[in-house]
Amino acid sequence: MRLHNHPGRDIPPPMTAAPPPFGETQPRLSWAGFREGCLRVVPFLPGVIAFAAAFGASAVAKGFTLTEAVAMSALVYAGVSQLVGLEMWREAWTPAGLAGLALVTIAINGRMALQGASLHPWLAQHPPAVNYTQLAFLTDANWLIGERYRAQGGSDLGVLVGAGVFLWVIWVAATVPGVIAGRLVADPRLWGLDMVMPVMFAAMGAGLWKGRESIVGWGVAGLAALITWLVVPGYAYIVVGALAGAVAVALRPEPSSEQTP
Amino acid sequence: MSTDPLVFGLWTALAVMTLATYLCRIAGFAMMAHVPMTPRVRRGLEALPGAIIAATLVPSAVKAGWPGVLAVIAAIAAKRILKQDIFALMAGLAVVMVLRRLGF
Repeated sequence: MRLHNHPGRDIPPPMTAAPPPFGETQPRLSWAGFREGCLRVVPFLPGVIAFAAAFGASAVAKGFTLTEAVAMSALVYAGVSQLVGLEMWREAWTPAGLAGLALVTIAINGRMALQGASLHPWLAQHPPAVNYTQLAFLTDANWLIGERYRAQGGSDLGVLVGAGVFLWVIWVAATVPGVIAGRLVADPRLWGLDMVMPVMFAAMGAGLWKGRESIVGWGVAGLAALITWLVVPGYAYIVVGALAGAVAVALRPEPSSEQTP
Repeated sequence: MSTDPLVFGLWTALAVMTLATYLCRIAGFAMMAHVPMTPRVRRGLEALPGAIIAATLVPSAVKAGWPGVLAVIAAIAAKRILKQDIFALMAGLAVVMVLRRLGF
């Protein structure tokens, strides 16, 4: 059975039909796959719930109402860009301010474009209407789940969609306790709530750090961002720093790779 | 500001973020058929998430002073040792709370 070789998973297989052979090209999108995707979300839940609650608390610190915070989680559904958006948030937006917000959002969520590109061979078997709908639920975790599932020989797009939709529900719901907890705090600064975003970045950064191969990109990005922050007001430093880091990596000579495991 | 006709509120900003994020979600899939993914382009795109994190983290930690810098260090240590974002968040916020209450 192709799906159920996870250690520690002893639930019965949700699919009773005979598994198709590897390399099948028939597009598949089933409820069984959807349920399978939901189950594969479970290991991600503690992190997702903590992150969504942290976002809710930060949103309250920025003066968001419960409705506004939940709406942002439901509509944007991209944690890091939501937190950075909060950092830039203001009472009134000029067209230039909105353009800056769009640019920063695109810079942060640009990684989704790469994830979408890597899913292309799988997704292309399905009609455009399906893909342009289900991609609204694309996020780091369901992308990872989908890629793992594919690597195991799976082909049911329901797994990607189910994981994405389930994560969205959890993300939106877990924003609420964060908002409520944030309201109980009289001085958000004393509780460090303004530092939730940098601390989550640090945690995610520590998880994404790949040792020596990360030094150039991260170092250039951090340094360029710091210099830009000192020189240019506003949040241009995120875009400038991130692009500087990515370009520095891209321009490096081909790494004499396979030395680092 | 209130006399400026070209001023928008929260819901417009939310709509902008929503649209920008959706464009990111579909862009790679939509362009894949047209843009050749050279090794150079691929390396740059793969480096982008880490670069974004570094570019956001360094100035925001420095902005917050010693509590900020030490909270970030505590969070990284907690994540590396305990492997969970939640512990990193708790460690980082604990450092900020203690240092700020001590008057830093």
